[in-house]
Amino acid sequence: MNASYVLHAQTKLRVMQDGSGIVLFGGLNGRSVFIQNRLFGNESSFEKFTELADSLEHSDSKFQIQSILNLSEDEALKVETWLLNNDFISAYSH
Amino acid sequence: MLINTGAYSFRVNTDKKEITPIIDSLYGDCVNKSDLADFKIKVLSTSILRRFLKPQVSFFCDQHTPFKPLPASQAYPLLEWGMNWCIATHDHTRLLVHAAVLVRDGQAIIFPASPGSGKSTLTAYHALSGWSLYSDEMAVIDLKTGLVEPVYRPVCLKNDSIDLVKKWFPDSIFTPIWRDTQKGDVAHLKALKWSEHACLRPAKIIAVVFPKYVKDKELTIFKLNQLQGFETLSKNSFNYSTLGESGFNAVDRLIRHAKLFEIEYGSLEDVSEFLAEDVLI
Repeated sequence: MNASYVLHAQTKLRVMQDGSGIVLFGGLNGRSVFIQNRLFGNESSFEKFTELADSLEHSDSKFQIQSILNLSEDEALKVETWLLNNDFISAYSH
Repeated sequence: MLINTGAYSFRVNTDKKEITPIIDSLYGDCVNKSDLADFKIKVLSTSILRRFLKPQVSFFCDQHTPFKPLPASQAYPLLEWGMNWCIATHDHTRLLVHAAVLVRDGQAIIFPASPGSGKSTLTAYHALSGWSLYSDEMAVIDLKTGLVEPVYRPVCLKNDSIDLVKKWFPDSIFTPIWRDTQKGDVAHLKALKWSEHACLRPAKIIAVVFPKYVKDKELTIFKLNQLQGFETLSKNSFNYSTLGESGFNAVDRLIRHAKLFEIEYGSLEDVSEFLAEDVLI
Protein backbone atom coordinates (compact mmCIF):
# COMPACT_ATOMS: atom_id res chain seq x y z
CA MET A 1 0.00 0.00 0.00
CA ASN A 2 0.89 3.68 0.26
CA ALA A 3 1.41 3.87 -3.46
CA SER A 4 2.25 7.26 -4.89
CA TYR A 5 0.40 8.97 -7.67
CA VAL A 6 0.55 12.07 -9.82
CA LEU A 7 -2.39 13.98 -11.20
CA HIS A 8 -3.18 13.25 -14.81
CA ALA A 9 -2.00 16.11 -17.04
CA GLN A 10 -5.63 17.02 -17.83
CA THR A 11 -6.78 16.91 -14.20
CA LYS A 12 -7.33 20.09 -12.21
CA LEU A 13 -7.46 20.02 -8.44
CA ARG A 14 -8.78 22.42 -5.85
CA VAL A 15 -8.09 22.13 -2.16
CA MET A 16 -10.92 23.36 0.05
CA GLN A 17 -9.48 26.11 2.22
CA ASP A 18 -11.54 25.01 5.21
CA GLY A 19 -9.93 21.56 5.09
CA SER A 20 -13.17 19.78 4.14
CA GLY A 21 -11.66 17.94 1.19
CA ILE A 22 -10.55 18.18 -2.40
CA VAL A 23 -12.30 18.48 -5.75
CA LEU A 24 -10.83 17.02 -8.92
CA PHE A 25 -11.95 18.00 -12.41
CA GLY A 26 -11.12 15.56 -15.19
CA GLY A 27 -10.41 17.41 -18.42
CA LEU A 28 -10.62 14.16 -20.39
CA ASN A 29 -14.17 13.30 -19.37
CA GLY A 30 -15.55 16.61 -18.02
CA ARG A 31 -16.43 14.97 -14.71
CA SER A 32 -15.79 16.21 -11.19
CA VAL A 33 -15.15 14.17 -8.09
CA PHE A 34 -15.52 15.37 -4.52
CA ILE A 35 -13.46 13.65 -1.83
CA GLN A 36 -14.01 14.40 1.81
CA ASN A 37 -11.20 14.75 4.34
CA ARG A 38 -12.16 12.12 6.92
CA LEU A 39 -10.66 14.17 9.75
CA PHE A 40 -12.41 17.41 8.76
CA GLY A 41 -13.17 19.40 11.88
CA ASN A 42 -10.20 18.01 13.76
CA GLU A 43 -8.02 21.06 14.44
CA SER A 44 -4.76 19.13 14.65
CA SER A 45 -5.21 17.61 11.19
CA PHE A 46 -6.00 20.90 9.46
CA GLU A 47 -2.45 22.19 9.04
CA LYS A 48 -1.19 18.84 7.80
CA PHE A 49 -4.06 18.59 5.33
CA THR A 50 -3.58 22.02 3.81
CA GLU A 51 0.20 21.60 3.60
CA LEU A 52 -0.04 18.25 1.85
CA ALA A 53 -2.95 19.24 -0.31
CA ASP A 54 -1.37 22.51 -1.43
CA SER A 55 1.57 20.60 -2.88
CA LEU A 56 -0.96 18.57 -4.87
CA GLU A 57 -1.96 21.57 -6.94
CA HIS A 58 1.28 21.14 -8.88
CA SER A 59 0.37 18.46 -11.36
CA ASP A 60 3.82 16.88 -11.33
CA SER A 61 3.94 16.38 -7.54
CA LYS A 62 3.63 12.85 -6.32
CA PHE A 63 1.26 12.26 -3.46
CA GLN A 64 -0.37 9.61 -1.31
CA ILE A 65 -4.13 9.80 -1.20
CA GLN A 66 -4.43 7.90 2.04
CA SER A 67 -2.35 10.33 4.08
CA ILE A 68 -3.85 13.48 2.57
CA LEU A 69 -7.47 12.56 3.08
CA ASN A 70 -6.93 10.55 6.26
CA LEU A 71 -8.60 7.51 4.74
CA SER A 72 -8.40 3.95 5.99
CA GLU A 73 -6.40 1.54 3.81
CA ASP A 74 -9.58 0.00 2.38
CA GLU A 75 -11.11 3.37 1.57
CA ALA A 76 -7.89 4.64 0.03
CA LEU A 77 -7.62 1.57 -2.20
CA LYS A 78 -11.19 2.07 -3.48
CA VAL A 79 -10.63 5.78 -4.12
CA GLU A 80 -7.29 5.22 -5.84
CA THR A 81 -8.67 2.49 -8.08
CA TRP A 82 -11.62 4.63 -9.08
CA LEU A 83 -9.47 7.68 -9.80
CA LEU A 84 -7.01 5.58 -11.83
CA ASN A 85 -9.78 3.92 -13.86
CA ASN A 86 -11.38 7.27 -14.60
CA ASP A 87 -8.16 8.98 -15.70
CA PHE A 88 -7.94 11.47 -12.84
CA ILE A 89 -4.53 10.20 -11.64
CA SER A 90 -1.61 8.12 -12.88
CA ALA A 91 0.65 5.84 -10.87
CA TYR A 92 4.00 7.43 -10.01
CA SER A 93 6.85 5.32 -11.30
CA HIS A 94 10.46 6.26 -10.60
CA MET B 1 -43.12 40.88 -30.74
CA LEU B 2 -39.82 41.30 -28.88
CA ILE B 3 -39.32 40.38 -25.21
CA ASN B 4 -36.23 41.95 -23.71
CA THR B 5 -35.12 40.41 -20.40
CA GLY B 6 -31.92 42.39 -20.22
CA ALA B 7 -29.44 39.56 -20.55
CA TYR B 8 -31.43 37.80 -23.31
CA SER B 9 -33.99 38.86 -25.89
CA PHE B 10 -36.68 36.75 -27.56
CA ARG B 11 -38.56 37.29 -30.82
CA VAL B 12 -41.98 35.75 -30.13
CA ASN B 13 -44.41 34.57 -32.76
CA THR B 14 -47.77 33.11 -31.77
CA ASP B 15 -51.20 32.40 -33.17
CA LYS B 16 -52.61 32.32 -29.62
CA LYS B 17 -53.67 35.95 -29.52
CA GLU B 18 -54.97 35.60 -25.95
CA ILE B 19 -51.41 35.50 -24.60
CA THR B 20 -50.43 38.84 -26.15
CA PRO B 21 -52.01 40.98 -23.39
CA ILE B 22 -50.33 38.77 -20.79
CA ILE B 23 -46.93 39.30 -22.40
CA ASP B 24 -47.72 43.02 -22.46
CA SER B 25 -48.64 43.07 -18.77
CA LEU B 26 -45.32 41.45 -17.76
CA TYR B 27 -42.86 42.71 -20.37
CA GLY B 28 -44.68 45.59 -22.07
CA ASP B 29 -42.64 48.24 -20.28
CA CYS B 30 -39.24 46.87 -21.34
CA VAL B 31 -37.20 49.04 -23.65
CA ASN B 32 -35.68 47.39 -26.71
CA LYS B 33 -32.42 48.95 -27.76
CA SER B 34 -32.25 46.78 -30.84
CA ASP B 35 -34.51 44.78 -33.12
CA LEU B 36 -32.16 41.83 -32.90
CA ALA B 37 -33.10 38.85 -30.75
CA ASP B 38 -31.01 36.08 -29.20
CA PHE B 39 -33.79 33.54 -29.73
CA LYS B 40 -36.61 33.19 -32.23
CA ILE B 41 -39.41 31.33 -30.52
CA LYS B 42 -42.96 30.35 -31.40
CA VAL B 43 -46.00 29.17 -29.50
CA LEU B 44 -48.33 27.73 -32.10
CA SER B 45 -51.44 25.61 -32.29
CA THR B 46 -50.83 22.04 -33.35
CA SER B 47 -52.71 20.31 -36.20
CA ILE B 48 -55.95 21.65 -37.63
CA LEU B 49 -57.86 18.72 -36.17
CA ARG B 50 -56.46 19.56 -32.73
CA ARG B 51 -57.81 23.09 -33.01
CA PHE B 52 -61.29 21.67 -32.56
CA LEU B 53 -60.72 18.58 -30.47
CA LYS B 54 -58.90 19.22 -27.18
CA PRO B 55 -56.77 22.02 -28.68
CA GLN B 56 -53.05 21.95 -28.00
CA VAL B 57 -50.04 24.23 -28.43
CA SER B 58 -46.37 23.54 -29.06
CA PHE B 59 -43.26 25.54 -28.30
CA PHE B 60 -40.62 26.02 -30.99
CA CYS B 61 -37.12 27.45 -30.78
CA ASP B 62 -35.85 27.55 -34.35
CA GLN B 63 -36.43 23.98 -35.50
CA HIS B 64 -36.47 22.48 -31.99
CA THR B 65 -39.62 21.41 -30.13
CA PRO B 66 -38.23 20.45 -26.73
CA PHE B 67 -41.59 19.77 -25.05
CA LYS B 68 -44.62 17.66 -25.82
CA PRO B 69 -47.68 19.74 -26.80
CA LEU B 70 -49.73 21.10 -23.91
CA PRO B 71 -53.41 22.04 -23.68
CA ALA B 72 -53.98 25.34 -25.49
CA SER B 73 -55.07 26.97 -22.24
CA GLN B 74 -51.44 26.61 -21.00
CA ALA B 75 -49.90 28.57 -23.87
CA TYR B 76 -48.46 31.27 -21.62
CA PRO B 77 -46.76 29.02 -19.04
CA LEU B 78 -45.39 27.03 -21.98
CA LEU B 79 -43.85 30.24 -23.35
CA GLU B 80 -42.14 30.99 -20.01
CA TRP B 81 -40.85 27.40 -19.65
CA GLY B 82 -39.65 27.54 -23.22
CA MET B 83 -37.72 30.74 -22.53
CA ASN B 84 -36.06 29.01 -19.56
CA TRP B 85 -35.13 26.09 -21.83
CA CYS B 86 -33.61 28.42 -24.43
CA ILE B 87 -31.32 30.04 -21.89
CA ALA B 88 -30.35 26.85 -20.04
CA THR B 89 -29.48 24.92 -23.19
CA HIS B 90 -27.83 27.63 -25.27
CA ASP B 91 -25.88 30.05 -23.08
CA HIS B 92 -22.48 28.54 -22.46
CA THR B 93 -20.73 31.84 -21.92
CA ARG B 94 -21.92 32.15 -18.32
CA LEU B 95 -22.38 29.80 -15.38
CA LEU B 96 -26.11 29.10 -15.03
CA VAL B 97 -27.36 27.84 -11.69
CA HIS B 98 -30.93 26.79 -10.96
CA ALA B 99 -31.43 29.39 -8.25
CA ALA B 100 -33.27 32.52 -7.26
CA VAL B 101 -31.19 35.66 -6.80
CA LEU B 102 -31.99 38.52 -4.44
CA VAL B 103 -29.83 41.58 -3.91
CA ARG B 104 -29.69 44.20 -1.20
CA ASP B 105 -27.15 47.01 -0.88
CA GLY B 106 -25.27 45.58 -3.85
CA GLN B 107 -24.85 42.20 -2.13
CA ALA B 108 -26.28 39.19 -3.92
CA ILE B 109 -27.56 36.03 -2.26
CA ILE B 110 -28.37 33.06 -4.42
CA PHE B 111 -30.92 30.42 -3.39
CA PRO B 112 -30.43 27.16 -5.29
CA ALA B 113 -33.28 24.78 -4.56
CA SER B 114 -35.21 21.80 -5.75
CA PRO B 115 -38.94 21.92 -6.57
CA GLY B 116 -41.14 22.20 -3.49
CA SER B 117 -38.51 23.99 -1.41
CA GLY B 118 -40.51 27.22 -1.31
CA LYS B 119 -37.89 29.09 -3.36
CA SER B 120 -40.33 31.13 -5.43
CA THR B 121 -42.51 32.09 -2.45
CA LEU B 122 -39.38 33.21 -0.60
CA THR B 123 -38.29 35.14 -3.69
CA ALA B 124 -41.66 36.86 -4.21
CA TYR B 125 -41.92 37.82 -0.54
CA HIS B 126 -38.49 39.46 -0.48
CA ALA B 127 -38.78 41.01 -3.95
CA LEU B 128 -41.91 42.80 -2.75
CA SER B 129 -40.28 43.76 0.56
CA GLY B 130 -37.39 45.91 -0.55
CA TRP B 131 -34.95 43.41 -2.09
CA SER B 132 -34.02 43.63 -5.76
CA LEU B 133 -35.10 40.62 -7.80
CA TYR B 134 -32.32 39.45 -10.12
CA SER B 135 -33.97 36.13 -10.94
CA ASP B 136 -36.51 33.63 -9.69
CA GLU B 137 -35.27 30.73 -11.77
CA MET B 138 -31.67 31.06 -12.84
CA ALA B 139 -28.54 32.71 -11.46
CA VAL B 140 -26.61 34.03 -14.46
CA ILE B 141 -22.98 34.33 -13.39
CA ASP B 142 -20.21 35.97 -15.41
CA LEU B 143 -17.29 33.56 -15.79
CA LYS B 144 -14.64 36.26 -15.69
CA THR B 145 -15.88 38.55 -12.92
CA GLY B 146 -17.97 36.11 -10.85
CA LEU B 147 -20.74 38.74 -10.68
CA VAL B 148 -24.39 37.74 -11.01
CA GLU B 149 -26.43 39.54 -13.67
CA PRO B 150 -30.05 40.72 -13.38
CA VAL B 151 -32.64 39.11 -15.66
CA TYR B 152 -36.04 40.74 -16.21
CA ARG B 153 -38.42 37.83 -15.68
CA PRO B 154 -41.50 37.33 -13.51
CA VAL B 155 -41.69 35.02 -10.48
CA CYS B 156 -43.46 31.74 -11.20
CA LEU B 157 -45.67 30.90 -8.22
CA LYS B 158 -47.43 27.60 -7.72
CA ASN B 159 -50.45 26.25 -5.87
CA ASP B 160 -51.06 27.67 -2.36
CA SER B 161 -48.27 30.24 -2.66
CA ILE B 162 -50.31 32.19 -5.26
CA ASP B 163 -53.06 33.03 -2.78
CA LEU B 164 -50.55 33.60 0.01
CA VAL B 165 -48.60 36.21 -1.95
CA LYS B 166 -51.84 37.85 -3.13
CA LYS B 167 -52.93 38.07 0.50
CA TRP B 168 -49.63 39.53 1.69
CA PHE B 169 -49.33 41.97 -1.23
CA PRO B 170 -52.86 42.75 -2.49
CA ASP B 171 -51.62 45.33 -5.02
CA SER B 172 -49.19 42.98 -6.74
CA ILE B 173 -49.55 42.32 -10.47
CA PHE B 174 -50.39 38.73 -11.38
CA THR B 175 -51.22 36.87 -14.56
CA PRO B 176 -54.32 34.67 -14.52
CA ILE B 177 -53.92 31.29 -12.79
CA TRP B 178 -53.43 28.28 -15.04
CA ARG B 179 -54.90 25.19 -13.42
CA ASP B 180 -53.64 21.62 -13.50
CA THR B 181 -50.40 22.19 -15.36
CA GLN B 182 -47.53 19.72 -14.95
CA LYS B 183 -46.41 21.89 -12.01
CA GLY B 184 -49.90 22.24 -10.51
CA ASP B 185 -51.68 25.59 -10.53
CA VAL B 186 -49.33 28.28 -11.81
CA ALA B 187 -49.37 32.10 -11.98
CA HIS B 188 -46.67 34.65 -12.76
CA LEU B 189 -45.96 37.69 -10.63
CA LYS B 190 -44.44 40.91 -11.95
CA ALA B 191 -42.19 41.79 -9.06
CA LEU B 192 -40.50 44.88 -10.46
CA LYS B 193 -40.85 47.44 -13.23
CA TRP B 194 -38.47 47.83 -16.16
CA SER B 195 -37.42 51.25 -14.85
CA GLU B 196 -36.29 49.55 -11.61
CA HIS B 197 -34.62 46.69 -13.44
CA ALA B 198 -32.70 49.10 -15.68
CA CYS B 199 -30.97 50.53 -12.60
CA LEU B 200 -29.66 47.14 -11.47
CA ARG B 201 -26.01 46.30 -11.99
CA PRO B 202 -24.11 43.00 -11.83
CA ALA B 203 -23.61 42.15 -8.15
CA LYS B 204 -21.09 40.29 -6.06
CA ILE B 205 -22.38 37.02 -4.58
CA ILE B 206 -21.80 37.10 -0.85
CA ALA B 207 -23.75 33.99 0.11
CA VAL B 208 -25.33 30.81 -1.17
CA VAL B 209 -28.37 29.70 0.84
CA PHE B 210 -30.09 26.39 0.11
CA PRO B 211 -33.65 26.87 1.45
CA LYS B 212 -36.16 24.20 2.42
CA TYR B 213 -39.67 25.03 3.55
CA VAL B 214 -41.03 22.81 6.33
CA LYS B 215 -44.46 23.74 7.61
CA ASP B 216 -44.43 25.23 11.13
CA LYS B 217 -40.72 24.55 11.51
CA GLU B 218 -38.58 26.95 13.49
CA LEU B 219 -35.71 28.38 11.51
CA THR B 220 -32.81 25.92 11.55
CA ILE B 221 -29.48 27.00 10.08
CA PHE B 222 -26.78 24.61 8.91
CA LYS B 223 -23.41 25.99 7.91
CA LEU B 224 -22.08 24.07 4.92
CA ASN B 225 -18.42 23.33 4.42
CA GLN B 226 -16.78 24.25 1.12
CA LEU B 227 -16.80 20.70 -0.21
CA GLN B 228 -20.57 20.43 0.36
CA GLY B 229 -21.05 23.86 -1.21
CA PHE B 230 -18.98 22.96 -4.26
CA GLU B 231 -20.79 19.66 -4.83
CA THR B 232 -24.31 21.00 -4.31
CA LEU B 233 -23.76 24.12 -6.37
CA SER B 234 -22.24 22.25 -9.31
CA LYS B 235 -25.14 19.79 -9.26
CA ASN B 236 -27.63 22.68 -9.37
CA SER B 237 -25.89 24.18 -12.40
CA PHE B 238 -27.43 23.69 -15.84
CA ASN B 239 -24.14 23.91 -17.71
CA TYR B 240 -21.34 23.08 -15.25
CA SER B 241 -20.23 20.02 -17.21
CA THR B 242 -20.59 21.74 -20.58
CA LEU B 243 -18.42 24.65 -19.47
CA GLY B 244 -15.61 22.30 -18.46
CA GLU B 245 -12.69 23.91 -16.68
CA SER B 246 -14.17 27.42 -16.77
CA GLY B 247 -17.27 26.14 -14.93
CA PHE B 248 -15.04 24.37 -12.40
CA ASN B 249 -13.09 27.59 -11.83
CA ALA B 250 -16.28 29.66 -11.52
CA VAL B 251 -17.81 27.39 -8.86
CA ASP B 252 -14.48 27.25 -7.04
CA ARG B 253 -14.26 31.03 -6.89
CA LEU B 254 -17.85 31.31 -5.72
CA ILE B 255 -17.55 28.90 -2.81
CA ARG B 256 -14.25 30.43 -1.67
CA HIS B 257 -15.74 33.90 -1.34
CA ALA B 258 -19.33 33.23 -0.29
CA LYS B 259 -20.91 32.17 2.98
CA LEU B 260 -22.62 28.80 2.58
CA PHE B 261 -25.81 27.82 4.40
CA GLU B 262 -28.67 25.40 4.28
CA ILE B 263 -31.82 26.51 6.07
CA GLU B 264 -35.10 24.89 7.02
CA TYR B 265 -37.85 27.37 7.71
CA GLY B 266 -41.54 27.68 8.37
CA SER B 267 -41.76 31.46 8.45
CA LEU B 268 -40.50 33.97 5.90
CA GLU B 269 -40.11 36.64 8.59
CA ASP B 270 -37.51 34.38 10.22
CA VAL B 271 -35.68 34.06 6.91
CA SER B 272 -35.65 37.86 6.49
CA GLU B 273 -34.19 38.28 9.95
CA PHE B 274 -31.54 35.66 9.27
CA LEU B 275 -30.53 37.26 5.97
CA ALA B 276 -30.31 40.72 7.52
CA GLU B 277 -28.45 39.71 10.67
CA ASP B 278 -26.25 36.77 9.69
CA VAL B 279 -25.72 37.01 5.96
CA LEU B 280 -25.56 40.62 4.79
CA ILE B 281 -22.31 42.32 5.61
